[in-house]
Amino acid sequence: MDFAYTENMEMYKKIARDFCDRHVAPTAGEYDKSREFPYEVLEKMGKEGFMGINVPKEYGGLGLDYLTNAVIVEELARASATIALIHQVHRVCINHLITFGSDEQKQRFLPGLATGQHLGGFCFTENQTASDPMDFTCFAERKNDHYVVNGAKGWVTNSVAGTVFVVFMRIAKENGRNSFNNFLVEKDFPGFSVGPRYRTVGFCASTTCDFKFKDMKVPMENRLGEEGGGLAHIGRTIHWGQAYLGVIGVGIGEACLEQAAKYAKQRVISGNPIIKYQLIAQKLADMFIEIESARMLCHKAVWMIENGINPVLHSRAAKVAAGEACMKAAVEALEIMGSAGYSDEYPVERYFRDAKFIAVGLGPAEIQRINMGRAIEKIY
Amino acid sequence: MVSEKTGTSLNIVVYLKLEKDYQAYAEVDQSTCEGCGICAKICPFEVPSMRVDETVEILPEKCRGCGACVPYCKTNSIRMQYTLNNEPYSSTELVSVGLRNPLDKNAIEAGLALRDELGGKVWVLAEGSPRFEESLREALVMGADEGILLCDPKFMGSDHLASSFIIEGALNNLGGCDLLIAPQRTSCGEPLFCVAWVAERLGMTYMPFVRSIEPGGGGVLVRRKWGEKMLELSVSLPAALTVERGINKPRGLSLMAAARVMGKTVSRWSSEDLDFGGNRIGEAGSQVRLRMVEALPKRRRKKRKRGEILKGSPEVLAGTLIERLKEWQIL
Amino acid sequence: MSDTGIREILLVVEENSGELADISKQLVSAALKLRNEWGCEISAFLPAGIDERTAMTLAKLGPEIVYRLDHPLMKEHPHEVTLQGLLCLQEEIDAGLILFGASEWGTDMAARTAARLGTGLLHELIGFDLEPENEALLGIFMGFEDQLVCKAQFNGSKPFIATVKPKVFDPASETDRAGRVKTIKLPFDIVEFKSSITQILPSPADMPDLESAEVVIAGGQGVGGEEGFAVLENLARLLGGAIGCTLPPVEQGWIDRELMIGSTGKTVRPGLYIGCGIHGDVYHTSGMDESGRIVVINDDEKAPFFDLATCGLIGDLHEIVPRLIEEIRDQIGS
Repeated sequence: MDFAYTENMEMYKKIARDFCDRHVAPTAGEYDKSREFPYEVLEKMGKEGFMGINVPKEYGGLGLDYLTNAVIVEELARASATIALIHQVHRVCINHLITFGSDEQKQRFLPGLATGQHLGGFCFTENQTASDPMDFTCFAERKNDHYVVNGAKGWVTNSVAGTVFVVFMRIAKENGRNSFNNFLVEKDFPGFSVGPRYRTVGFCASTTCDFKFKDMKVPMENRLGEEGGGLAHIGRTIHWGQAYLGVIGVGIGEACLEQAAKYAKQRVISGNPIIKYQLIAQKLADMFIEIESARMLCHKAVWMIENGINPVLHSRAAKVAAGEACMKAAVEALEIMGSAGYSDEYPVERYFRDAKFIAVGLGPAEIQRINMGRAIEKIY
Repeated sequence: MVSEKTGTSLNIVVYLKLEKDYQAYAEVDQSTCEGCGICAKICPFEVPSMRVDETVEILPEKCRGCGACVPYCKTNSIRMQYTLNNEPYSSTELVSVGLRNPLDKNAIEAGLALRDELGGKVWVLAEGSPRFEESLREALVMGADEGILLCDPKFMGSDHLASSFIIEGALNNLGGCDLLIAPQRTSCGEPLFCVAWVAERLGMTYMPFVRSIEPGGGGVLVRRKWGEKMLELSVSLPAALTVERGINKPRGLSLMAAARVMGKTVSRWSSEDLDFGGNRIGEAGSQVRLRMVEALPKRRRKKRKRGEILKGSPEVLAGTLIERLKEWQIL
Repeated sequence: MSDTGIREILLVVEENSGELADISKQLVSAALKLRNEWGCEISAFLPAGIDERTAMTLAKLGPEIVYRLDHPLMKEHPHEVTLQGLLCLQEEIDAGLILFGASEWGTDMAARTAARLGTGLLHELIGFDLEPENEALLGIFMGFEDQLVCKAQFNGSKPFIATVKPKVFDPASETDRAGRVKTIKLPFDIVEFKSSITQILPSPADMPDLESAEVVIAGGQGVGGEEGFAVLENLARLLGGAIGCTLPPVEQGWIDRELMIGSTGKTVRPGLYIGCGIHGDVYHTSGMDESGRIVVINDDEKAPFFDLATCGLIGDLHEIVPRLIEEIRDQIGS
């Protein structure tokens, strides 16, 4: 067991950081204020290969391993959590496709996703029913060689700019293990409509809308996996997504720690930089403890998934830990920086607004704990 | 690789002069150290620290290797060390991964840009400790074709002239080159002297302080300042150039290049691999020899007091400032 | 009598728009010091393009002989012709020490000369030292991030070659003695040139590097836009300084991130720092608070930057700076 980053991971981390310092961080605040979708940044990322880091080489991606992916995602999140989330949701779509798609589907979609020419997304939640799939109503009725879909999905990230989405739908009215399918839904399918855009408190430049499907025709070739296999599959994808969402939280936390520490080293009160005062030092130490712990959990969860071990506890734990760590880090950073932190001249107020989402997205912390309780009951 | 456009192919070597200063460290013989602490007072970088047993400790990673402390030790307990495990030493803390000297990237970019336009191959060459391999790998990720590290304790102690024999040996090993490019200055010395000697002996056209390079004029066209004018010169190949800041904007590191380069290794050449043409290297080949260093008296950090704050019309304020500038001998 | 065996020092002098360059006057000063200590003679080499007048001025500063080189191909191939002239002269007079000013031109010529003669050299010297017991000549220079005074010995055969650091020696002043001026010619034709000048273009004087500039003019949010920075740049050029900025102008795209001074940017320590329209947050001040003298121009009298000011002006920088520029132009003109 080796805790050190491999030489390759160090190099990729450095490259990602160099790219983020040049192209992501300088405009992050601007995009956040204007709420404009960062098309230019994503285009640059596409050219440099970021959009295809988890796409296998034979489909035009870089085929990097899971841990290297985590390192790159953390760097993106440190510069701009919004970019990291847009990128992450795109990768969720790619990951699901790689794991459960047919060769034909991979050939059809992966090359475009790898270059960023197409942006991916993922639909699970429904507005009325939140997280329990048993209550979902979005329904795909099987006809001979296609499906007709009616229903809606809520809070979809990359809803405006995205072109292909992995959508989780019910195929039978009764609940059961085989009542669900996942489909690749393309934006130009007739019957697909995008609702108005939500204004969120954080991740302001990300586009989040509801989707409405009215008699939307989905061809048989776009079904992912076997008939009725949707539930098990989406469970695995969600675990994968949770671990990496945790990584985004770690990136936000790291950015907060950096800002707070730098500030504390220079802010001089009564002749001393405030970092010398014990209460400030304690805050920074606690920030580090929580962020590093969350990082370890996220890396372990990601490693488990890559090695075929079911991360039933670890991915949830990683997201919960990261969500709490980054929120606490953001609050402490704001307090350490005082009025300066509270103003928008510094990025900490953006970190503060972004951080809360980590605990809430992909299943709020409370649900995670309930599920973890059930899992612990079985394991211990 | 021959350029499709121009049908040419240039062999370009970029020579990087990486951190030479931190390639030695002071070692304290604890058995003879009396713990007087004079070395700590002398060291301009505040490296020596007192241990619990009241002897002095100097951490190799933090030491700059200047040797200023050595003559002051009353018990002669400090010795300078230049190698570690039989390889040239460099501080793990002070010599960080990557291309720290900003002009290094400019020099590499100049080579890459010419190769992209005229076809050919870019080698990146550096001399020093094994840790510099990481810098050369970064050059590979930028897009260079091969990296070569000249690494051998025998190279140490070389002044600019002796270093030029080493570089010449490396170039001969490569079968010569069309263009040798180096950064104009680094934080620990000016490569332009080394490059001048190499150019002279290998019959290359020498041009330092270059601010732009373009193909043309039967070789390359370069620009450099001359007083208040900018000269454009045609330089015949083979040529040896040192590049100034502002010559170009180095390309960033790219993920895709990293993925391509991951399998590659940096070659390592020692003195056995090179033919110095009978010249001597190391101290024996050097014509200048560092004899001693002395620390300057330490600078105390000033506590600033609020000075004179003035209000008034813009004319009055500007006028007062002019008077101050004259008092301060700026004007 | 010097124990170094150096009977003659040869100075290589440079011109700047028809006048003797400042660095060369400093070079003469350094050589005169050595003459006093060692009792040797000083010759100066002046590659031409310059008229007799400048040679005369040089002769009055102290050298025993001034050698002028005149050559028809000097304008087209200045480097090679100068080098050949210098080498011919050196063969004739066999100076023990050849000194250049450590300017761009001087360093270039020093490198070529050393390369042609196959000798080592010492760069940016601030002084010399003798060790008579070892018959050693040492050059003194700053090293290790300018923290240490280093002494290195010339260990090879003569002539010893060195460049002298600018602004260390005072420029030599005119004496009432004047040395001889001799015009020399190259005894042969140079036929092979590896480089030649294809065109001469105008070029504004460089701004000094931000991190080593002696004068820094910095602008903040109050500057208002790119045009505001263009005005500050005029001020900087007049004072021979560099331009810097804080974070907000960078974020708004008025100026390049490379010029940002502060905790995430550059650290500067100029003798004079003028900050315009800058509030004075610690993010910025940590990058410049060791400056010699700090001038703050801001229309907000509560701005914390005034606490660090040697001289603070409460007013609108858009009114004050243009007037400052005008007045300085007048001063320089007169």
